[in-house]
Amino acid sequence: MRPPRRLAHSALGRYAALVAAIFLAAFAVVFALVATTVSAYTERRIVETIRTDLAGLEEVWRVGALPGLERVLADRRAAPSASTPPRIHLVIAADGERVAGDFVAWPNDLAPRGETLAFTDAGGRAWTGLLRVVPDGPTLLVAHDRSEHEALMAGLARELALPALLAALAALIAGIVVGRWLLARIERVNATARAVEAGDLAARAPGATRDDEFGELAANFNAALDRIAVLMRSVHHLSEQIAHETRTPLARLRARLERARREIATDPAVAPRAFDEAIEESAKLIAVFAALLDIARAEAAAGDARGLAPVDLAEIVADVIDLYEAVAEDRGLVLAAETRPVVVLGERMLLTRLLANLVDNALKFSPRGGRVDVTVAVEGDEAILAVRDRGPGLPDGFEVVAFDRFTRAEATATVPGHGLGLGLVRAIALRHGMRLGLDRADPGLRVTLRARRAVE
Amino acid sequence: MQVLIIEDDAVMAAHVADLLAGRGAVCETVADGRAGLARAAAHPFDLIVTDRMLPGLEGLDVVERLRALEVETPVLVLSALGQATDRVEGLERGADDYLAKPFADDELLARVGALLRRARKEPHPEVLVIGSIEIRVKARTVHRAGRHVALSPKEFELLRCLAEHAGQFVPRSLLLERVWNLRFDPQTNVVDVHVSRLRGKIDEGFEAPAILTARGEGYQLVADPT
Repeated sequence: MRPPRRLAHSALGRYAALVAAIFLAAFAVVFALVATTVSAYTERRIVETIRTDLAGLEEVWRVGALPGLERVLADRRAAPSASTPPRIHLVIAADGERVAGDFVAWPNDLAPRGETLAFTDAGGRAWTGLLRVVPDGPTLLVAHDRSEHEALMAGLARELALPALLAALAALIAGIVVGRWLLARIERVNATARAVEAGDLAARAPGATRDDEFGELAANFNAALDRIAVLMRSVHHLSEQIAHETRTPLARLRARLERARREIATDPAVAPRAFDEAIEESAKLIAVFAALLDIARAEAAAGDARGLAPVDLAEIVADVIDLYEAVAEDRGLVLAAETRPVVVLGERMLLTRLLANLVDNALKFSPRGGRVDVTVAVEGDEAILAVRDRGPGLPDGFEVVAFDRFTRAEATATVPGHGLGLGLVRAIALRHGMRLGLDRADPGLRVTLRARRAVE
Repeated sequence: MQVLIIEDDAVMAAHVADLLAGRGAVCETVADGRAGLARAAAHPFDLIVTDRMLPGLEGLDVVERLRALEVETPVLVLSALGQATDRVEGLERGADDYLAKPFADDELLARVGALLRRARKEPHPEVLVIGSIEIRVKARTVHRAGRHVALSPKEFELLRCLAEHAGQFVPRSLLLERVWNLRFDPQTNVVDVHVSRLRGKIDEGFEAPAILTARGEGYQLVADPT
């Protein structure tokens, strides 16, 4: 287990901070909306109150003229209403003479605020006021103290700041906790990867059975490890097999050379035959290695489109029949072909070799008087190359390993071959992305190769 | 005949030199690619036999630079890289023939013989006469001691290939390459079957066989069949 990363460098720290930041931003937006709504509402209330007041004062003027106004304002000053915020008034007669009010003159810093006026008095209090010019009458100014409104807004901000901070903190903590939990599950996969890297090839990520994304991650990771393990086992198996399969011919080669050395001393006349046999033995060994290399090369080229060219399967069949017809005839077999021109993408030499191996095999396992059929057919956009013999077929269960390197059915021990022919067939099919099939044909065996037709 | 052998494996170099000396060649051996290139450019050899993986300079690079210097000496590449694609690469980069290691001695000699014949630019004769056998290339007819022998097209090609190397062993792999254009060895010795048919037709009624089998590796058309 490696030491935990510092929070600032871990994905966890970044995600938790991001969650908290998003939360704070959302909260700020909500607060701004609430503040503007509240502010607009109280502002409207103030303006409405002032407007009612102004209408009342105008009415007072109509009934009692300027003296009436003076009296009302004096009353108000004497007994301020408890229900309304502090207010101030100013009445200016039509000729511009100040009649009554709390101001000595017009305030200087009147600033229009929409339809209302805003100003600050000498004591620093903020006011919102409304001006009304009564036709043929005085000009009236009523202003309300804004401090209560300001206090309300400030209070709102104060009241909400703490919950906002608390909520952001909660978001941060939640981010860290949830993140920890998620990362802990990722860490388990990471720990497995490190264990595999350190040499524990059997290590597998836990939690692969859970039906969620992390379960899927663990399951996929494990599946990849399993696949690698299978491949490694087969490589290991193969190298053991190669070592084993080459020991026998090497032993025979050595035995023949030793015999040649003995014979050259005792009976020089017969020695050359032992040498010939040794050379023949080495040729067989070379053939085994060449076949192994060819298989490896074809497998490595699987899926590589370079080197592929349009090839007519019918021509390949004709070439191979031309090569093997005489062999079939000598063994009392019939080698027949039924083809039609079908173009596929392939390496001509490799495909010829594939078919040669299949035909070679079919002829080898055919009883005297038997028949081998090679056919090329078309099914939709697929070309099907098939080789059918009437031999003994495959023993039960042999289908699975028939194309493996060095496998030979037990009953065929007397038939010559190194057990690599079908291995090469499979490698060449793989190289071309072609599908290989083995069917019981009763009697005999049918090997099919399905290839995508080339677009002409 | 002067041959330059560029090969860093002393055993292999001595073996090839021995083989070619048996055919009357004077061989010079160089173990390094750069030295080989310098020697090949400086002296008019009849043939160059080179390995691929060499110290100093890769064998195919040697060939490529020689061709760039307009040295047209025939080159046979001998390499452990024996796959079809390696071979194609060798020929594309200027080699005249390519033989995979390990090889059969007869095959090396047959290929060297073919290279030298080609280099001498001998005109392809219309009529090949080997002892009592007369092959008319254009008419694709064969007569032995004046008697017409009917051959299938592949049997004719087989005989022609053997006739071009008359008196020498021709390995099966070379026959497969020249007659069937195949660069692999089928598991069953299909060549044997074709040769035995050819032999049956060409030797019918004659006491001395015209075609000999070479120690399980190849065939030879005797130089002077009766």
